[in-house]
Amino acid sequence: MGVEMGVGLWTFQSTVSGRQSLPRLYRDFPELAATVERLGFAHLWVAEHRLWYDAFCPAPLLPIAAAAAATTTLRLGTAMTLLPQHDPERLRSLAAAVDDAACGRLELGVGLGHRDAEFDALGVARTGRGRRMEAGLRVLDREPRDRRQDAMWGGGMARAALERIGRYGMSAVLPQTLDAEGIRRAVAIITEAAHDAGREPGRIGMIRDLWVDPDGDNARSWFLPRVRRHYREEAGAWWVLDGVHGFERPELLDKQVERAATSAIAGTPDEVAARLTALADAGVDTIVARVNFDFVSECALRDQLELLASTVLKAVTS
Amino acid sequence: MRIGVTIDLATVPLADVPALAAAVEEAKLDLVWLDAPQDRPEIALAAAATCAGTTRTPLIGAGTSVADHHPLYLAEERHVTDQMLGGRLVLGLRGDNEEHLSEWTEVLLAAAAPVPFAHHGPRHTIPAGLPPHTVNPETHVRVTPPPYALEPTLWLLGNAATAVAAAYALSPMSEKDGSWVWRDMEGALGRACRRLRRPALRDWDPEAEEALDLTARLLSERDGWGLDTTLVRLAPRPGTAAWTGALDDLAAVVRPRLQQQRLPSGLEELWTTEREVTT
Repeated sequence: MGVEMGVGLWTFQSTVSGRQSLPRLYRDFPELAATVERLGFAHLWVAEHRLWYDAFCPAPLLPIAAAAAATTTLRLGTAMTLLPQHDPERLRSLAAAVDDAACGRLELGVGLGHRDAEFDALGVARTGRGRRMEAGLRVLDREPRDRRQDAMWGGGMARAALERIGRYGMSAVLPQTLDAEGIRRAVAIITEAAHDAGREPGRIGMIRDLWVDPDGDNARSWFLPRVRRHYREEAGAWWVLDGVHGFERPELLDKQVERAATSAIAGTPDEVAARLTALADAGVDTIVARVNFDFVSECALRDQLELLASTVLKAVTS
Repeated sequence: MRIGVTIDLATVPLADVPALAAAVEEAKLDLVWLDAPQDRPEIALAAAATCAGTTRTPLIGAGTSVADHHPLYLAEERHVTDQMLGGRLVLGLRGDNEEHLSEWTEVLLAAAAPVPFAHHGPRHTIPAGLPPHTVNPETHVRVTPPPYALEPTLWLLGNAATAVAAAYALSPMSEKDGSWVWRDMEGALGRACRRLRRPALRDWDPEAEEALDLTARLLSERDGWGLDTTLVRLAPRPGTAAWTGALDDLAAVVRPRLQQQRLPSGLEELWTTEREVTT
C-alpha cells in the first residue's frame, strides 16, 4: 500500500478571529473540491460539531454529497462523524445514500464527540458514548455492508479505541501528537486486534496541521501563532480540562495549546516533506494535511493547495 | 404559476439526480422536487445537496417525513442544504399524526430563527438537561449554521398537513383536491392565507393526455381554489427522451398558458405554429 495524501479540514466555521462568509464557504465548496481533485490529492475531509456560534458544520455528509457531484475520483471523508450523537440506523441510510451519490467514494470516519452541550441537545448522555459507539458500529458493520471496510475510519489513542478499530477492520485516524514510537505501538495494537477478530487491518492515517512556504521562517512565523490562537479558543471553550472547561484552567489550557502547536508542521516544502516521510516510515499510509482553518482566507487556501500539490504531495507519494 | 417536476428517490439513484436536476434547469422550469421514500426520509436532503454545484437557478424541493429519530438532525441538515443551495431549498415535511407533525414543525421553525431556543414537546425536550451534563450546561440552543433564507420555505404533506399548516400559517401541499384544503385554511387564517403559496402535486402522462389538456386541468384548479405552484409527477422514466420531451412541453406549452388571466387572440396560434416548425 502506497502513501496517500489528502487535505482537510473543512469545518465551515466563521469565528471571531477568522470571519468568513458562510454562504460563500458552502457555495464554493463543490468547485473547491474539484480543484483539490485536479491538483492530485487523494481525498478531502470534512468535520462535524454542532450548536456553536461559529456555525461549525453539523452535517458533513451533505457538503460531501454536493462535492460528489462535482468530482469523479476524489475520495470524500468525514473526520469525524460523531457516531454516538447519531441514530445509527439513520446514519447508515444517509451514509449509504451519499456513498451512492459519490459512486463509492465516501470515507466514513466516526469519532466519539466530547461536548456535553451537543449530547444534551439530542437527549443523549455523554457518559454513555462508548456504549453508543459500539452499538453504532454494529449497525454500520451489519451485513450487507455498504462500503469497503477500510473506508470506515475510527479515531482515538486509548488502547480500547485502537483495539476497537482493529476489531472492526476499520482504518485508523491517529492523533497528530503521536511520535514515531507511538505510531508503531498503535499500529501493533490495531493489527493484533484485527487478526484476533479475523479481519484485515485497515489503513493507518494521521491528520497533521500543516503549512508550507518557500521561506520556512515565514511559514512558522505566520502559521504557528494562528494555530495557537485557534486552539486557545477551541480548547478554552470546548475541552474539559480537570472537570471544567478549558478557560477555567489556564495553566492546563496553555499546555494543551502548546501541545497542539508543537505537533503542527510548518516550513519549506523540503522540511515538511521530510517530516511527513518520517511518518510514513513509522507506518502511516494516509496523510491528511490540515491546511484549512478559520484563519485561512480562500485565496490563501487555494495558493497553499497549489504549493502543497506541486511540492510536498509529489515528494511524499512518489 | 410556477411549474416543477418530481423525482422519485425510491427509483432514481442519487448519482443520477444532479444530471436530472440540470435537465430541469436547462428546460427553464422552476422547481425540482426530490421525493424520498417513507422508509428512508433522510435521503431527500442528501439528494438536494447534490444539486448545489450542478444547478444555479431552480428551487430544489426535498420531500421528507416525520420519523422516530430526533428532529434536530433534520433542522441542521435543512440549514446546511439551504446554505449550499443559496436559499433555494423548499423542504416538504410529511406527517399523518398531528401531534408528531406539529412537534417537528415547531422544532424546525424554532431552529430556523436566529436566536437560541428551548423546546418542551410531547416527545422531545431540547436541550434535554440530563443530570450528567455539568460542563457549560445550556438552557437554550442555537442551531447553526442558520439557513440562507430569512424565512426558509416549509411545506407540509400527509394526513395531518392541513391542521398543522393552519396552526403555523404554513402551506399544505395538496395531493388531491385542493379546494377543501384551502377552504379550511381560509377559515382558520383568513387574509393571512394571502402570504402562502398554494402548491399541489399532480400526475401527467404525456402519452395519455395532451399538454393542452393538462393546461386546462391546471387552469381550472388555479381559477377554482388558487393553485399557484404545480409539481408534476411525470409518467416517463426520468432521463429518457420522453421525459425530456415532457419537460419541454411543460415549459413551452403548459406554463406560458397559466401565467395570464387571458391571452390575446392569435398568440397561442403563433406559439403553436412556431413549435411545430422547431420540433
